[in-house]
Amino acid sequence: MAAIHAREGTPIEGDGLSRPAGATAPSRPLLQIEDLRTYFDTDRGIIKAVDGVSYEINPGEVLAVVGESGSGKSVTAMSIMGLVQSPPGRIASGAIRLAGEDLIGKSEREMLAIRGSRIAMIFQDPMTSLDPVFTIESQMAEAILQHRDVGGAEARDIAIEMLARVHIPDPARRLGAYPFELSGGLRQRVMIAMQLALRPSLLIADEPTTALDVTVQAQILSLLKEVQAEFNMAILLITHDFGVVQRIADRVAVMYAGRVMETASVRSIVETPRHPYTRALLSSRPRIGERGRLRAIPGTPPNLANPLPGCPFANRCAEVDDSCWIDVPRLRAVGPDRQVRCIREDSA
Amino acid sequence: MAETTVTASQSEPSNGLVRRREWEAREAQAVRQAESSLRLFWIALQRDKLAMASALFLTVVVIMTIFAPVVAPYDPYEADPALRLQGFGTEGHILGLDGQGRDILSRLIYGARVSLPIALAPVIVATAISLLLGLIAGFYRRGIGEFIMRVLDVFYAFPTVMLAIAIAGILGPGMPNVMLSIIVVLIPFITRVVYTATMTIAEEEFIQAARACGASDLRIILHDVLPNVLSPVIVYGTTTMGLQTVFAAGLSFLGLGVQPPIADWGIMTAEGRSVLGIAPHVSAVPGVMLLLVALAFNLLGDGLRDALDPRLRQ
Amino acid sequence: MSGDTSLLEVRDLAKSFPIRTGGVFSREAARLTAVDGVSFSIRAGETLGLVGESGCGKSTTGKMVMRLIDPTSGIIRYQGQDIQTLKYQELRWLRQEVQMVFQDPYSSLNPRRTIAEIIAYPLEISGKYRGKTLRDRVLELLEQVGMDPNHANRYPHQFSGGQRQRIGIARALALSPKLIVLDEPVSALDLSIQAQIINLLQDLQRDLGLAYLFISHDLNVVEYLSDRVAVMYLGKIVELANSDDLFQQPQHPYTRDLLSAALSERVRGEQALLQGEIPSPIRIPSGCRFRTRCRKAVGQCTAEIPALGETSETAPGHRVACHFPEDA
Repeated sequence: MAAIHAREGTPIEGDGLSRPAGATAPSRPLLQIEDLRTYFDTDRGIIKAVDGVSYEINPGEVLAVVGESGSGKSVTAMSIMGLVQSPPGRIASGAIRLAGEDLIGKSEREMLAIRGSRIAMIFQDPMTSLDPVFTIESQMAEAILQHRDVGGAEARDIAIEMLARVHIPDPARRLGAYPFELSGGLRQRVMIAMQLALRPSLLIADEPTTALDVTVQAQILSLLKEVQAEFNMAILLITHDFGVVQRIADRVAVMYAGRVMETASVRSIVETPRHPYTRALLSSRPRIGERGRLRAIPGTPPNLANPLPGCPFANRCAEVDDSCWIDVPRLRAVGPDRQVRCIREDSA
Repeated sequence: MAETTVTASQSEPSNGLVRRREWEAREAQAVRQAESSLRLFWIALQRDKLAMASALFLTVVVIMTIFAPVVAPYDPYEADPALRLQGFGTEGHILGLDGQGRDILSRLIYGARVSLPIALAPVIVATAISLLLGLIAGFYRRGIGEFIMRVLDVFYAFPTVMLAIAIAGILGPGMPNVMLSIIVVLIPFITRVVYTATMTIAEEEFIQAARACGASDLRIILHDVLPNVLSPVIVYGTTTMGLQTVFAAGLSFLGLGVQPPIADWGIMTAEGRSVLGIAPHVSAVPGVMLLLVALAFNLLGDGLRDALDPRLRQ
Repeated sequence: MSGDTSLLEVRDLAKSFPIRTGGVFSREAARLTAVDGVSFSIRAGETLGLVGESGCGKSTTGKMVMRLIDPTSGIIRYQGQDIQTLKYQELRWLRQEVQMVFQDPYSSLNPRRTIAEIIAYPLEISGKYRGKTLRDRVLELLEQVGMDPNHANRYPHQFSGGQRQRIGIARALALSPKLIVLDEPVSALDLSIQAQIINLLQDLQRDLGLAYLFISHDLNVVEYLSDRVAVMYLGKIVELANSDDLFQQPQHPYTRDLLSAALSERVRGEQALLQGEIPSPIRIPSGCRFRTRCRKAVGQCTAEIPALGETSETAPGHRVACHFPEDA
């Protein structure tokens, strides 16, 4: 399993990722994704939305998966949750292990139990996951009663306690509210409270602040960080925004065209990005205090129905040469806390 | 560091170039034959076997109707009293003969010339009127739109069949009157479909963009809104045609529509009523035909809806 | 400030929407104040950034400038002409002078038209182009925004978000306007594409001498395009200054909080967060509308509405609406 530490320069495809720097030794990762492939069968052929993704999350860790649209970051999350609609989607191969137990192949019934109690998920738009015709109380109580062994009165108490935990003022009164009566920020808080009530060990947050205003965004991120520490919960944060990553993540996996291109601690990624894509992405973002021209990445992300023969970034990469077009480079460990998928790292 | 699994060192650089060219060619090809909306629609429709079968069936029916004098084996009014009420498989009369000894197959084919137009023409006319009303009401929701929809709501409130019977009853029997009553009955339904679709489209940013370009309301309605509301209307119209085939026949059956001796599927069914016990086929044949045509229109409508919906196409 | 040098001049612009009860006998139950007394001007070739969070009225302001929405009160002058009073022919002139790029590259292009038809639309309406001149102009525009002219006969759904936004920009450029309202033109785009579009907008401004009204919620991108920036909060401009002044020496507490929220990526861990959320535009707080979230609010802030004015010691043109502006 992943306990074997990859030697520097050794291909580790299909193996787990190495631990973040400073993490305590070989405790088992909470979630381990190995060579996951999620494909969609469409009119235009097979779309390989996730094509050999491996990463792992340790208990209590925040892993940010960063990527642009079509990078496969959300499809990976849906695969973990067992929510990939089939057809057209299917998990072609790979393993998703939660505390050592493979989730692929579990029945819908088993997944239902796992989704509620061990893995929770919050989405970009909380309105779509809250039922507009029920009050916050009935939705929270239903979830709590279903997954925890408590009575009705107790469920209400838990709901109030959780709303208070996420700093919703006057929680007892808010219980009677309908989702549309709450602002976007409050709705996201309610969603977080609902998930916390089930005491999951892993929270998947899919663009949790993208729909919110900057000032509210900051509030929700600091709340996530706070409850993560308090509940010793791991967070898989899916985002396109490096600002969000830098605020709360411990480690980052950068995805592109269905593959992980680079993983490292947040600090290493931001300060010394090694993959050309990571570098290009970081330098293309606009920043306060700078003017003039932005260093844009030319071209557009690849058409997943016609994948590139070699490195998926080859057609946009500034450092490309002919050899990049031959084979997909391997994701290999380069240093204790970093992996890079680039042919340069092979020959370095 | 020197891992032998790395293939790059073994390959010629030109190998990479070849692969790159191949990919670029594929990419260009994918974009070139890039799915025009029509092609995607056709692919999606072809996959729906029931809809394709329905389309085929309706095509055959329409062709037979148009070429009735050529296709039909007998004159539909020519009676052979000796063979009255003979059943299926009678020599020379596959579908048997009716109470007066007329060939049922021939009457069925000629009947379509009455039954189909009587059902389809009103749908087409009603759709045209509804498009006008619905586009105006959906685009100008306050004032005129409000007025149109409220007036139509009054018609909505009456049961459809009752309303049509009442209109046909007041105007007296006859084909034009039946058609008129069907048109009146259909307008509120189709208008609502157009209205809802128009409202949705009118909210889209490209309508504002058209305004910003200086387009007049009339131009926006015709150039931007209309092409986008056509598909739901076509779907609804197709499904409605099935219903109207039965409905028009029903009015004839009740004696409010076309009058005997004209061959019409409704009348044929009605005529067979008195001999239902001894010769059920006289009613059953036009009845089943009505059912099949109605079903075919419905299935085709469903198929069109799925094929026209880009979300279901993906 | 002499009005004759500015291309666009907006004075005391306000817009409120009635909120009606349902039913046949609907009556006005409340008013939603979207824009409440906004004044600014834009000179030829200049970019004014209009920044704020959702519901601050920045998009409504842009639409009023485009005359897509009628203001409740206030005046918008384009080249000295009150645009509200323009009749049919003059309105056509305005549509050639002032254009708009929309936020959503998916909903802003008619899905049933080819991109050539979409770009040709304003040209056809203007009546100035037909036949070959029309076709040539469309191809020229496609090239200008970095699209392959061979793609002219494709439909919008065949393009990515960034390419669609280029098409939207080509449509806005078609009649050679002098002012373009950019309503969040990059916020729906991926990071790597965002930079391409910002660069394109910069190039076009330089080459064509365009003026922009650049509406955005993202402070990170505003600075790249804007000469001056206006920060809006609940329908009012709370601060207006040169880009450099505003980003380096923000004077309004709200501007400061916005900036620190946007900058927070560089500041890990705890820092002062702006508390609460924007109040409902149906019930706007009395006095200074930011007071419910302001760290410095005192009694005066509840009682008096602060005017947008220059503070004596700062650079001219740096205006702030606060009783207790931050020191430079």
